[in-house]
Amino acid sequence: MMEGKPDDVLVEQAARGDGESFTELCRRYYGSMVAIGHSILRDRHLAEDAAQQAFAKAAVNLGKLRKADQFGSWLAAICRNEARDLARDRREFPMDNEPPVVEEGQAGSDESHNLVREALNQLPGEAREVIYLRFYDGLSYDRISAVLGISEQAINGRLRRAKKRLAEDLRRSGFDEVDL
Amino acid sequence: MSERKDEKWLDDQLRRAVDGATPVFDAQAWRQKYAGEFQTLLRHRERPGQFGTVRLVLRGSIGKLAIAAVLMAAAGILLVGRSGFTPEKPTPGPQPVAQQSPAQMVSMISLSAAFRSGGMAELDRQCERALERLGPRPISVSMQELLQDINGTGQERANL
Repeated sequence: MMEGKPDDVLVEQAARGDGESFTELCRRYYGSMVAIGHSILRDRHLAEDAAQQAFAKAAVNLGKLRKADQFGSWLAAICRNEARDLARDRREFPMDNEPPVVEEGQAGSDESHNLVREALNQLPGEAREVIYLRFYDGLSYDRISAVLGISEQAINGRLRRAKKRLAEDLRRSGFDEVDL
Repeated sequence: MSERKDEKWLDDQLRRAVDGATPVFDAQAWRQKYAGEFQTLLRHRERPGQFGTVRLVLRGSIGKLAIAAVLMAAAGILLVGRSGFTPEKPTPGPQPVAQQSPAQMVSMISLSAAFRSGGMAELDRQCERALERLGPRPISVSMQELLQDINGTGQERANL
Protein backbone atom coordinates (compact mmCIF):
# COMPACT_ATOMS: atom_id res chain seq x y z
CA MET A 1 0.00 0.00 0.00
CA MET A 2 2.81 2.40 0.92
CA GLU A 3 4.91 1.32 -2.05
CA GLY A 4 2.85 3.16 -4.65
CA LYS A 5 2.74 6.49 -2.85
CA PRO A 6 5.00 9.29 -4.06
CA ASP A 7 7.70 10.50 -1.73
CA ASP A 8 6.15 13.92 -1.06
CA VAL A 9 2.87 12.33 0.10
CA LEU A 10 4.80 10.08 2.47
CA VAL A 11 6.73 13.08 3.75
CA GLU A 12 3.50 14.99 4.46
CA GLN A 13 2.05 11.99 6.29
CA ALA A 14 5.26 11.40 8.24
CA ALA A 15 5.32 15.07 9.27
CA ARG A 16 1.87 14.51 10.77
CA GLY A 17 3.26 11.67 12.88
CA ASP A 18 2.69 8.65 10.65
CA GLY A 19 5.47 6.24 11.59
CA GLU A 20 4.76 3.81 8.75
CA SER A 21 5.21 6.54 6.13
CA PHE A 22 8.49 7.55 7.67
CA THR A 23 9.68 3.93 7.73
CA GLU A 24 8.83 3.58 4.05
CA LEU A 25 10.87 6.71 3.30
CA CYS A 26 13.79 5.19 5.20
CA ARG A 27 13.52 2.03 3.09
CA ARG A 28 13.51 4.04 -0.12
CA TYR A 29 16.45 6.25 0.78
CA TYR A 30 18.59 3.80 2.73
CA GLY A 31 20.71 2.73 -0.25
CA SER A 32 21.45 6.28 -1.38
CA MET A 33 22.26 7.41 2.15
CA VAL A 34 24.63 4.50 2.68
CA ALA A 35 26.28 5.32 -0.66
CA ILE A 36 26.79 8.94 0.41
CA GLY A 37 28.15 7.86 3.77
CA HIS A 38 30.39 5.29 2.10
CA SER A 39 31.85 7.90 -0.26
CA ILE A 40 32.91 9.96 2.76
CA LEU A 41 33.83 7.27 5.29
CA ARG A 42 35.00 4.52 2.88
CA ASP A 43 33.62 1.98 5.29
CA ARG A 44 30.38 0.18 4.67
CA HIS A 45 29.45 -0.38 8.33
CA LEU A 46 30.18 3.17 9.35
CA ALA A 47 28.23 4.36 6.33
CA GLU A 48 25.21 2.42 7.55
CA ASP A 49 25.61 4.02 10.99
CA ALA A 50 25.70 7.47 9.39
CA ALA A 51 22.58 6.73 7.34
CA GLN A 52 20.67 5.52 10.40
CA GLN A 53 21.72 8.54 12.44
CA ALA A 54 20.58 10.76 9.59
CA PHE A 55 17.14 9.11 9.72
CA ALA A 56 17.01 9.71 13.47
CA LYS A 57 17.76 13.41 13.02
CA ALA A 58 15.25 13.62 10.20
CA ALA A 59 12.57 12.06 12.43
CA VAL A 60 13.09 14.77 15.02
CA ASN A 61 13.35 17.68 12.59
CA LEU A 62 10.88 16.70 9.89
CA GLY A 63 8.52 19.49 10.98
CA LYS A 64 11.15 22.04 9.95
CA LEU A 65 11.23 20.82 6.34
CA ARG A 66 9.32 23.41 4.32
CA LYS A 67 9.07 21.64 0.95
CA ALA A 68 8.17 17.98 0.92
CA ASP A 69 9.68 17.48 -2.54
CA GLN A 70 13.10 18.46 -1.19
CA PHE A 71 13.14 15.66 1.36
CA GLY A 72 15.84 13.69 -0.51
CA SER A 73 18.36 16.51 -0.76
CA TRP A 74 17.56 17.61 2.82
CA LEU A 75 18.17 14.09 4.10
CA ALA A 76 21.38 13.82 2.06
CA ALA A 77 22.70 17.01 3.65
CA ILE A 78 22.00 15.57 7.12
CA CYS A 79 23.69 12.31 6.15
CA ARG A 80 26.83 14.08 4.87
CA ASN A 81 27.09 15.97 8.17
CA GLU A 82 26.67 12.78 10.16
CA ALA A 83 29.30 11.00 8.08
CA ARG A 84 31.75 13.87 8.46
CA ASP A 85 31.15 13.92 12.21
CA LEU A 86 31.84 10.19 12.34
CA ALA A 87 34.98 10.65 10.26
CA ARG A 88 36.13 13.41 12.58
CA ASP A 89 35.37 11.36 15.69
CA ARG A 90 37.27 8.37 14.37
CA ARG A 91 40.54 9.78 13.31
CA GLU A 92 41.52 6.57 11.66
CA PHE A 93 39.27 7.60 8.76
CA PRO A 94 40.87 10.68 7.24
CA MET A 95 38.63 12.68 4.92
CA ASP A 96 40.76 12.84 1.79
CA ASN A 97 43.93 11.47 0.22
CA GLU A 98 43.59 8.24 2.11
CA PRO A 99 45.98 5.57 0.82
CA PRO A 100 44.21 2.61 -0.77
CA VAL A 101 43.34 -0.29 1.45
CA VAL A 102 45.40 -3.20 0.11
CA GLU A 103 44.68 -6.47 1.77
CA GLU A 104 47.45 -8.96 2.25
CA GLY A 105 47.84 -11.35 -0.66
CA GLN A 106 45.72 -9.18 -2.93
CA ALA A 107 48.39 -6.63 -3.87
CA GLY A 108 49.98 -8.50 -6.67
CA SER A 109 46.89 -10.36 -7.88
CA ASP A 110 44.65 -7.42 -8.68
CA GLU A 111 46.72 -4.36 -9.35
CA SER A 112 44.10 -2.73 -11.55
CA HIS A 113 41.44 -2.95 -8.87
CA ASN A 114 43.65 -1.32 -6.26
CA LEU A 115 44.74 1.45 -8.58
CA VAL A 116 41.14 2.24 -9.47
CA ARG A 117 40.23 2.35 -5.80
CA GLU A 118 43.14 4.64 -5.13
CA ALA A 119 42.18 6.94 -7.99
CA LEU A 120 38.58 6.95 -6.73
CA ASN A 121 39.72 7.97 -3.28
CA GLN A 122 41.73 10.83 -4.78
CA LEU A 123 38.65 12.38 -6.39
CA PRO A 124 37.06 15.47 -4.83
CA GLY A 125 34.10 14.73 -2.53
CA GLU A 126 31.35 15.71 -4.99
CA ALA A 127 32.76 13.63 -7.84
CA ARG A 128 33.34 10.65 -5.56
CA GLU A 129 29.81 10.94 -4.22
CA VAL A 130 28.17 10.81 -7.65
CA ILE A 131 30.22 7.74 -8.56
CA TYR A 132 29.20 5.94 -5.37
CA LEU A 133 25.57 6.84 -5.98
CA ARG A 134 25.72 5.68 -9.60
CA PHE A 135 27.52 2.41 -8.98
CA TYR A 136 25.85 1.42 -5.74
CA ASP A 137 23.71 -1.53 -6.59
CA GLY A 138 20.10 -0.82 -7.40
CA LEU A 139 20.07 2.98 -7.32
CA SER A 140 17.92 4.51 -10.02
CA TYR A 141 18.55 7.86 -11.67
CA ASP A 142 15.29 9.06 -10.09
CA ARG A 143 16.62 8.33 -6.65
CA ILE A 144 20.00 9.92 -7.37
CA SER A 145 18.22 12.98 -8.77
CA ALA A 146 16.06 13.29 -5.65
CA VAL A 147 19.07 13.00 -3.39
CA LEU A 148 21.33 15.44 -5.23
CA GLY A 149 18.53 17.85 -6.11
CA ILE A 150 19.67 18.05 -9.76
CA SER A 151 18.31 16.78 -13.08
CA GLU A 152 19.29 13.49 -14.71
CA GLN A 153 21.12 15.48 -17.37
CA ALA A 154 23.15 17.24 -14.70
CA ILE A 155 23.89 13.89 -13.05
CA ASN A 156 25.21 12.57 -16.36
CA GLY A 157 27.41 15.64 -16.77
CA ARG A 158 28.78 15.36 -13.27
CA LEU A 159 29.38 11.63 -13.75
CA ARG A 160 31.16 12.15 -17.06
CA ARG A 161 33.49 14.76 -15.58
CA ALA A 162 34.24 12.51 -12.62
CA LYS A 163 35.09 9.54 -14.86
CA LYS A 164 37.21 11.71 -17.14
CA ARG A 165 39.23 12.90 -14.20
CA LEU A 166 39.52 9.33 -12.97
CA ALA A 167 40.80 8.23 -16.38
CA GLU A 168 43.42 10.99 -16.32
CA ASP A 169 44.55 9.90 -12.86
CA LEU A 170 44.74 6.29 -14.03
CA ARG A 171 46.79 7.26 -17.09
CA ARG A 172 49.24 9.01 -14.79
CA SER A 173 49.34 5.84 -12.67
CA GLY A 174 50.38 3.69 -15.61
CA PHE A 175 47.12 2.90 -17.41
CA ASP A 176 48.31 4.63 -20.56
CA GLU A 177 45.46 3.24 -22.64
CA VAL A 178 42.39 4.27 -20.66
CA ASP A 179 40.23 5.72 -23.37
CA LEU A 180 37.05 7.67 -22.50
CA MET B 1 48.84 -2.62 -19.16
CA SER B 2 48.71 -3.08 -22.91
CA GLU B 3 45.03 -4.08 -22.80
CA ARG B 4 42.83 -1.28 -24.09
CA LYS B 5 40.69 0.17 -21.28
CA ASP B 6 37.38 1.59 -22.35
CA GLU B 7 34.42 3.05 -20.47
CA LYS B 8 32.86 -0.36 -19.88
CA TRP B 9 36.06 -1.57 -18.30
CA LEU B 10 36.13 1.48 -16.05
CA ASP B 11 32.47 1.02 -15.07
CA ASP B 12 33.15 -2.58 -14.08
CA GLN B 13 36.14 -1.50 -12.05
CA LEU B 14 34.14 1.22 -10.31
CA ARG B 15 31.31 -1.19 -9.54
CA ARG B 16 33.85 -3.42 -7.81
CA ALA B 17 35.56 -0.51 -6.08
CA VAL B 18 32.44 0.93 -4.43
CA ASP B 19 31.44 -2.54 -3.24
CA GLY B 20 27.82 -1.51 -3.15
CA ALA B 21 25.72 -4.58 -2.48
CA THR B 22 22.17 -3.37 -1.91
CA PRO B 23 21.85 -2.36 1.73
CA VAL B 24 18.64 -3.44 3.42
CA PHE B 25 17.00 -1.18 5.98
CA ASP B 26 16.03 -3.05 9.15
CA ALA B 27 13.11 -0.95 10.36
CA GLN B 28 12.56 -2.92 13.55
CA ALA B 29 16.18 -2.57 14.67
CA TRP B 30 16.24 1.12 13.78
CA ARG B 31 13.08 1.84 15.79
CA GLN B 32 14.57 0.10 18.81
CA LYS B 33 17.93 1.84 18.49
CA TYR B 34 16.40 5.30 17.98
CA ALA B 35 13.24 4.88 20.07
CA GLY B 36 13.37 8.44 21.44
CA GLU B 37 13.66 10.04 18.02
CA PHE B 38 10.92 7.84 16.59
CA GLN B 39 8.60 8.73 19.49
CA THR B 40 9.27 12.41 18.77
CA LEU B 41 8.04 11.84 15.23
CA LEU B 42 4.94 10.00 16.43
CA ARG B 43 4.08 12.82 18.83
CA HIS B 44 3.30 15.04 15.83
CA ARG B 45 0.11 12.98 15.54
CA GLU B 46 -1.07 14.37 18.90
CA ARG B 47 -1.01 17.94 17.62
CA PRO B 48 -2.23 17.64 14.07
CA GLY B 49 -2.58 20.70 11.94
CA GLN B 50 0.32 22.56 13.49
CA PHE B 51 1.90 22.83 10.07
CA GLY B 52 -0.80 21.05 8.09
CA THR B 53 -3.35 23.86 8.19
CA VAL B 54 -0.86 26.49 7.12
CA ARG B 55 0.40 24.25 4.34
CA LEU B 56 -3.17 23.54 3.21
CA VAL B 57 -3.94 27.26 3.05
CA LEU B 58 -0.69 28.03 1.26
CA ARG B 59 -1.21 25.24 -1.24
CA GLY B 60 -4.40 26.76 -2.69
CA SER B 61 -4.13 29.79 -4.93
CA ILE B 62 -7.08 31.50 -3.21
CA GLY B 63 -5.42 31.02 0.15
CA LYS B 64 -2.21 32.54 -1.20
CA LEU B 65 -4.12 35.53 -2.60
CA ALA B 66 -5.97 36.05 0.68
CA ILE B 67 -2.73 35.99 2.65
CA ALA B 68 -1.12 38.38 0.15
CA ALA B 69 -4.08 40.78 0.49
CA VAL B 70 -3.90 40.71 4.28
CA LEU B 71 -0.16 41.33 4.19
CA MET B 72 -0.53 44.24 1.75
CA ALA B 73 -3.27 45.83 3.88
CA ALA B 74 -1.15 45.46 7.00
CA ALA B 75 1.85 46.98 5.20
CA GLY B 76 -0.31 49.92 4.01
CA ILE B 77 -1.59 50.64 7.50
CA LEU B 78 1.93 50.44 8.84
CA LEU B 79 3.26 52.86 6.22
CA VAL B 80 0.47 55.39 6.79
CA GLY B 81 1.03 55.18 10.52
CA ARG B 82 4.78 55.70 10.11
CA SER B 83 4.41 58.68 7.77
CA GLY B 84 2.38 60.54 10.43
CA PHE B 85 -0.60 61.08 8.18
CA THR B 86 -3.97 60.76 9.85
CA PRO B 87 -7.29 61.71 8.23
CA GLU B 88 -8.29 63.97 11.08
CA LYS B 89 -5.19 65.47 12.48
CA PRO B 90 -6.10 67.34 15.67
CA THR B 91 -5.65 71.13 15.46
CA PRO B 92 -4.02 72.98 18.34
CA GLY B 93 -6.61 73.46 21.06
CA PRO B 94 -8.08 76.95 21.44
CA GLN B 95 -7.31 79.15 24.40
CA PRO B 96 -9.53 78.35 27.43
CA VAL B 97 -12.81 80.19 27.18
CA ALA B 98 -12.36 81.79 30.58
CA GLN B 99 -9.27 83.64 29.34
CA GLN B 100 -10.79 84.84 26.08
CA SER B 101 -12.14 88.27 25.35
CA PRO B 102 -15.60 88.52 23.80
CA ALA B 103 -13.94 89.18 20.47
CA GLN B 104 -11.88 86.01 20.76
CA MET B 105 -14.93 84.06 21.83
CA VAL B 106 -16.72 84.82 18.59
CA SER B 107 -13.68 84.48 16.35
CA MET B 108 -13.78 81.86 13.60
CA ILE B 109 -11.31 79.62 15.42
CA SER B 110 -13.22 79.64 18.70
CA LEU B 111 -16.59 79.17 17.06
CA SER B 112 -15.38 76.28 14.91
CA ALA B 113 -13.76 74.67 17.97
CA ALA B 114 -17.04 75.04 19.85
CA PHE B 115 -18.92 73.50 16.93
CA ARG B 116 -16.52 70.54 16.78
CA SER B 117 -16.83 69.88 20.48
CA GLY B 118 -20.61 70.10 20.81
CA GLY B 119 -22.27 70.96 17.54
CA MET B 120 -24.80 73.78 17.16
CA ALA B 121 -25.77 73.67 20.85
CA GLU B 122 -22.20 74.40 21.91
CA LEU B 123 -21.96 77.13 19.24
CA ASP B 124 -25.05 78.84 20.76
CA ARG B 125 -23.61 78.52 24.24
CA GLN B 126 -20.35 80.06 23.08
CA CYS B 127 -22.23 83.06 21.67
CA GLU B 128 -24.28 83.37 24.87
CA ARG B 129 -21.10 83.37 26.94
CA ALA B 130 -19.66 86.10 24.73
CA LEU B 131 -22.75 88.21 25.26
CA GLU B 132 -22.67 87.62 29.02
CA ARG B 133 -19.03 88.70 29.06
CA LEU B 134 -20.03 91.93 27.36
CA GLY B 135 -22.57 92.56 30.16
CA PRO B 136 -25.95 94.31 30.05
CA ARG B 137 -26.42 96.69 27.18
CA PRO B 138 -29.08 99.27 26.42
CA ILE B 139 -31.78 98.10 24.11
CA SER B 140 -30.91 100.71 21.56
CA VAL B 141 -27.24 100.56 20.70
CA SER B 142 -25.52 101.89 17.65
CA MET B 143 -23.39 99.70 15.43
CA GLN B 144 -20.32 101.75 16.32
CA GLU B 145 -20.86 101.21 20.04
CA LEU B 146 -21.38 97.53 19.49
CA LEU B 147 -18.14 97.24 17.51
CA GLN B 148 -16.27 99.24 20.10
CA ASP B 149 -17.47 96.84 22.79
CA ILE B 150 -16.56 93.81 20.80
CA ASN B 151 -13.21 95.04 19.52
CA GLY B 152 -12.26 96.90 22.68
CA THR B 153 -10.88 99.70 20.58
CA GLY B 154 -13.26 102.49 21.49
CA GLN B 155 -10.94 103.98 24.08
CA GLU B 156 -7.89 103.76 21.88
CA ARG B 157 -9.72 105.43 19.04
CA ALA B 158 -10.94 108.18 21.38
CA ASN B 159 -7.37 108.73 22.48
CA LEU B 160 -6.19 109.15 18.91
